[in-house]
Amino acid sequence: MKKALIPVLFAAAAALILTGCHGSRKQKDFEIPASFDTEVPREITFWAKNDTNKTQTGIYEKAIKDFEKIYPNINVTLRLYTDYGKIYNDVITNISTNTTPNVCITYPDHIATYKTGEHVVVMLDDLIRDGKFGLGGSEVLFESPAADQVVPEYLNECLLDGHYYALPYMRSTEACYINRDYVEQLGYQVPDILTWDFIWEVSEAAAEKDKSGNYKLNGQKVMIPFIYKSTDNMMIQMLKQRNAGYSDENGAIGIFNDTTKELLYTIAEHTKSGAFSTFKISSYPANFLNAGQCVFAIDSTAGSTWMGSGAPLSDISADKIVQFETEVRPVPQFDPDSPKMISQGPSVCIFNKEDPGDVLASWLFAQYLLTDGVQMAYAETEGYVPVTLTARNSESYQDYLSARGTDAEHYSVKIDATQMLLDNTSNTFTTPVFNGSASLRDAAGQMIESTAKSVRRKEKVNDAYMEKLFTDVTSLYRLDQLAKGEGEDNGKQVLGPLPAASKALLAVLCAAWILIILYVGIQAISRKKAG
Amino acid sequence: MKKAIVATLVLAMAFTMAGCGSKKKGAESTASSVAAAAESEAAAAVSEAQETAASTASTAQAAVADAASEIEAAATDAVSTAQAAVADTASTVEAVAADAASTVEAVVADTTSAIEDIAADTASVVEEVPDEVISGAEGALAAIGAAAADAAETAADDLMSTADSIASAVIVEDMEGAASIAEEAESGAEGLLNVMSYEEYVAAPVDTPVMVETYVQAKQAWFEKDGQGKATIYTQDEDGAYFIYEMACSEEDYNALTEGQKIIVSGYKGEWAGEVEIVDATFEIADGNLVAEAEDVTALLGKDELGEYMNRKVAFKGLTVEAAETADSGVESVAETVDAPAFTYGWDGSGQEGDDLYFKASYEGQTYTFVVESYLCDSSSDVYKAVKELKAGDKIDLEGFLYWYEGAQPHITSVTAAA
Repeated sequence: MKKALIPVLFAAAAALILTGCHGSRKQKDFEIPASFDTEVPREITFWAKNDTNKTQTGIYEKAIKDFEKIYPNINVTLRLYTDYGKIYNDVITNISTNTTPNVCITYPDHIATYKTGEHVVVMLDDLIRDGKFGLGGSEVLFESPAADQVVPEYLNECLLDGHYYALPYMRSTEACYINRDYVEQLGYQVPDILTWDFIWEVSEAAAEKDKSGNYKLNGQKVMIPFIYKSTDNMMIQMLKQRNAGYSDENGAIGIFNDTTKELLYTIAEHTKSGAFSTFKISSYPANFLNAGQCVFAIDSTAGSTWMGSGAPLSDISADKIVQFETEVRPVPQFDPDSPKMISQGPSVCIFNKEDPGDVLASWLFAQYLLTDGVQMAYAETEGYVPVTLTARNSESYQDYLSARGTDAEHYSVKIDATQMLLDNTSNTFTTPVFNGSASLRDAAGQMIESTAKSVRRKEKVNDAYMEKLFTDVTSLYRLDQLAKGEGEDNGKQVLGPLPAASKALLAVLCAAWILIILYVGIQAISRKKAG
Repeated sequence: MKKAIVATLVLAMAFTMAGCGSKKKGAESTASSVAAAAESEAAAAVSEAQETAASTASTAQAAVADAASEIEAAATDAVSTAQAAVADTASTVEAVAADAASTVEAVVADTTSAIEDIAADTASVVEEVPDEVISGAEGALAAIGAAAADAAETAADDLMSTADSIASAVIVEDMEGAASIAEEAESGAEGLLNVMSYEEYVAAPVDTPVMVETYVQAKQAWFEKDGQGKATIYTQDEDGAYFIYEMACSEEDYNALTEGQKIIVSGYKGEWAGEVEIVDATFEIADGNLVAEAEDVTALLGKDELGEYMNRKVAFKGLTVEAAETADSGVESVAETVDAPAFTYGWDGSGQEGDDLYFKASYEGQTYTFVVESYLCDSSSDVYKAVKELKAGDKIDLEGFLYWYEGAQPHITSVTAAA
């Protein structure tokens, strides 16, 4: 009687303890199901970003349609955005109500914020290498690329805290689109690698006016020799090229340094002379470039179909477009022998759900976005590059690159921008990702915008101004709250000593295991004696 | 310090006098003449000391006056650079100079008074003083006079030096900061901007501060950006319109704004892609109400003069709906496919329900693009629904606001069948 009760009591106690632990979680961590039932209907949502480009939305729609043919039980609903920031805001809003999308185009900076919620974003380490459903897995019903066929630099950009939380989808960088005719009119030649000194010198020359107030270079009342679309990238790349502080992986902010001040003084100087402006202050770089009102326009390679006289897309009327030769170069450098440029572009993350089957369906769709057909089709809509080696090395893609300039689909500026990135993949970099890195990025750009705006408003830009700017930006973006402080470590909260209840629970847990082991031992000895 | 010197001198003299008193009296017969001579000498010494002190004081005062004059001259120069700043400087310098003069005068007066007291004491006792003592007294008086003069001069020099360095520091500082002060004065003057007329607003250069009294015509959007509420609204007065972009505004204030409400807006004039707007603005509610009538500008379509109506509430009448156009397929004849919509989500059809609606309508053979801006009129609005029902060939009247993006891009708020 006594013997019979012991195992029952042990088992009940252990089960109670272990079940109690499991039930304490708000949302279960995702575990890969052993199988995927293609008969069970699945509804998943896909929040995607396009560049206000009908072809891109068409590619998403086609990808969904093709995927649904392979997995008829999975229905994918597309929601389109044209702005990463809006996706980010909507996801944040929906996390609190547990109504996040299943699959979402995003940036690692944003994922860092999403994953502050417990088990909100699915960690992909196991999924990527799973033999059945992983990249190139045996039970995936389409030809998916293996993990080693994803460009390593791009896959590594999806690492957060040492784990994969996204797959790269497309990659781009920034390019400098140049009115070569204007550069030569000013007595210069476009070098292979632009330097900042060259850009400023030519821009100053282009800012000269005649007696009637028209610019000598174009005879117009409007001329912005050098215009930058994304000033956060501008500051980030300048600091990287100067090997100056920005931030580290732990979230320590290093951007408020003397090099930053020096760069801002330079930008102020050229803003004052009228040689420089920004998208936020003036308008899209392409509009000025194509109207003959700009010499150097820096924008994403993913905006290349808008750049140049023959651009397939344009926001200005045809009668305003000026004919000129467009050159494409990497962004200006401080050290032309060691070029550095930002790597950007969308990635895909998966949000956790109660039903692991839904998560697996989401993963399969995300994986489908890496197939050659989707990768090449989407990349070719703009100056993107595919993120898989299989797509990059395919004959079809090589043919596409070779057909440069033959028609609108092979617009020369777009392919030049693409080729420039392909040639410089090893020269790209990303900034450290942590909860708050998106705010730091905004702050980097804001310092340029504020400085330029202040100069235009004839405010004095001096050391006192810089100090105030640093303080204001720190406050506006709450950067002082990101710094490692008391109770925090590596951006994560240190919870302090375990509460007494937790200690007691752990003690009971240990005791349960000890009793289980003892019981098993006693049983074994008893069997041995009986035998 | 100066008073201490004088006090020391007085004590020294008293000590000397006390020493003298301990001596035995001299011969009565010579005492009178000696005393007279001593008195005469003492008086002369006192007189000389007084003259010296007075002269020193005068010199000091003159030096102070000269310094004040120089400082005032410097201040006048500074005034030419920055009037407001130099007024402060001159005031400061004058105060320093006045203080210096006052202090020097006080020291000189104290010294003179002390010498006079000593001289009087000397005269009263000198009759009992022997020759050698008289001689000592003469020396002492001379020393006292010289010491007094030195003390006064030193005090004057110290004060002048202090006054000069203070004044110099003030002037140097002001000269260095003159431009800054002038800019601040200019900036401060901006804070004192008067409300502009529409004509003045139009004439104001981009990037300069502006202040207008205007009336809310439509609220386009409110959202929180970096933790701050931002409102974008169309406003108008009797003479023209003002597009207020991302004005600082709490959500509560935004919800309280109603059509026609008068507000006073302060900000900077900006221009983005041709759209003239007020940015970085703040506002306050004012008493007044004006709801503008839509002005018929149909005849100005395609003409430069249309730009004069930028941001105003306008009407276009008697237009004909044209077929939708997409970037992919080019012009599609909706007339041939009767049920096809005459709009696109987004400029090229890349959007979806809830996004901006673009549609085209023609007037006198020319086709123009119109937009239902989804923040201004979302998918639940009547105009959004009405545009989705449009078919090529429909005759329509439109109302909206004349937004600008690289040319006219009317944001439509109403579409009705042509009257």
